[in-house]
Amino acid sequence: MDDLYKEHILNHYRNPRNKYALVGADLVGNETNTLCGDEITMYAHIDAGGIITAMSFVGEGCAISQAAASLFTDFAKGKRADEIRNVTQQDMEQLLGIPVSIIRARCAVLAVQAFRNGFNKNLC
Amino acid sequence: MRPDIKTDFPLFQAQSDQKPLVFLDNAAASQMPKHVLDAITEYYTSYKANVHSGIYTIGRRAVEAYENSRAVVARFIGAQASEIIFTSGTTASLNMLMRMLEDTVNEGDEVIVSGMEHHSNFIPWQELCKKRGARFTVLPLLPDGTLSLDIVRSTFSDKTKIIAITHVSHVTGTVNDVKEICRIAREKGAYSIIDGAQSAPHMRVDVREMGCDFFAFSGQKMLGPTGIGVLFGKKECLEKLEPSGFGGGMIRTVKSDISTWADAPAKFEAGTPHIAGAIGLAEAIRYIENVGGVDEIHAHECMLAAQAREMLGSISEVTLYGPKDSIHTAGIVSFTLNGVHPHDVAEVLARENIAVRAGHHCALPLMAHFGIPGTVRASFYLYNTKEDVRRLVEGVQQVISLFHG
Ligand SMILES: Cc1ncc(COP(=O)(O)O)c(C=O)c1O
Repeated sequence: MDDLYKEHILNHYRNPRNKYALVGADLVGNETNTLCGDEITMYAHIDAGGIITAMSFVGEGCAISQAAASLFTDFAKGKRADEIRNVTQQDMEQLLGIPVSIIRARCAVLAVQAFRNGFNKNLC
Repeated sequence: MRPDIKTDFPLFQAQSDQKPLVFLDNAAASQMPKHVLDAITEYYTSYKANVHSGIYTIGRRAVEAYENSRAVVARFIGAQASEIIFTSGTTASLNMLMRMLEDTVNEGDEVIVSGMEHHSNFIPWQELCKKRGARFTVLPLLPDGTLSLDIVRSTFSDKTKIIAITHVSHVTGTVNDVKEICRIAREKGAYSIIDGAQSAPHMRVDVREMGCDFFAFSGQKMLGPTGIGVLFGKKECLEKLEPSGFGGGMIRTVKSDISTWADAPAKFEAGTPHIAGAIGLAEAIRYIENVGGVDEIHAHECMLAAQAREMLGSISEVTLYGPKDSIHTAGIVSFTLNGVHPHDVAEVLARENIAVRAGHHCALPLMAHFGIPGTVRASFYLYNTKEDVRRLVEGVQQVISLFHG
């Protein structure tokens, strides 16, 4: 019917990847979407070389924020934490495969922002 | 309502290749009839001048139009013109009032609000209590989100200085018995403050009959422009309270050692007001009266809301919020769809050119009460039709087939 809710996104919304709390995480960060009050918490294992070896998330939200978080966890694995914290809205739009409106931009970057908050708190 | 009423509203006439707009976010901001747009344009094109300066012709005309607007608003809610303060909206009215009442609340005193308030009738009082060391009491709600008068009565004490309550919930549409609440407040010697943002545009309001000390509402929710609102204050209250803002237009004398204030309402309107906004609001009120008045509007909206509740209620994935009976509810319907976030519902409806509001509606305490992050809200006004309700329900069915299909 429309781009925003194409199967790719609905699939990640219905069956989110890595949706659980990692035990003994090196990084825990959360963020609230001021627009809707949705909350998300990101967890990551990061090795001595700064590489993300695992990432997970917990939280409820709309299809965009949930699919974005799910895609983000897959994308981040094996990459450097200090690079992943600089993921932009454009990067997230690429992962989602769609542009997002100014109103839903917060949903698309909620997981990234939560990760960034955790990075600043735990690793700086 | 006149069946062709939408033709008075330029926004509904705008040509587009989409399906006709179904506008159901009236509780946030309503559309403006051309009468209102014309009145505003006339001020800007033929007599724009400040209301503080003019001996000259257009200056005088601006003062006349501004003060005449005040009189129109006063008559609309059964007040005197001197009891009407123009503000930029309900939020501004309530924040200003909080500062006006600051000195009357002391350590150990109490301020009461309800669990269904909009944040703008919640946070100012919470902040006031924090600052003054007073107790901030939030009245608990019944499971359906309504207020029990027994709880209101038993909560009051000799320490209660203020009760601030909404007339109509902007989330569930429930109508509070504000007359009785004001009576209790009067008996206990507390100020009664009524948030009329969702009542003044839609139903008969008579502040004398209601017996409130203060009443606040917004222009953009009643066919007027944004940036204009009203604070009604009873004459004897306004006379004794201090202003919260200072500057031009509100003084009697200014000397280097001390200044004194003009009488209300000027005392509370420092600086250049939103003159075009006041003129637009008064024109909106005239329009409302000319198309049949608030009683007729109220009946029309309640009929549409009841129909929406019934049709949505028969869909198994839908949960409705608010009281079951439609006697004590206004034209607002809140619901959620099992397994679909409210924002996703609104986004899919938007693609069908149906405008609803989704989220917490600036009422997080009420969302916590219901145990949900948000709802989808459809709020009706005079120009909505049964066809709008049908399109809404059809849109909801599409959301269900997209997400559950
Ligand atoms: C009940 C209620 N109170 C206060 C407000 C705030 O009004 P405004 O944003 O015009 O200041 C609203 C608006 O949504 C409302 O519905």
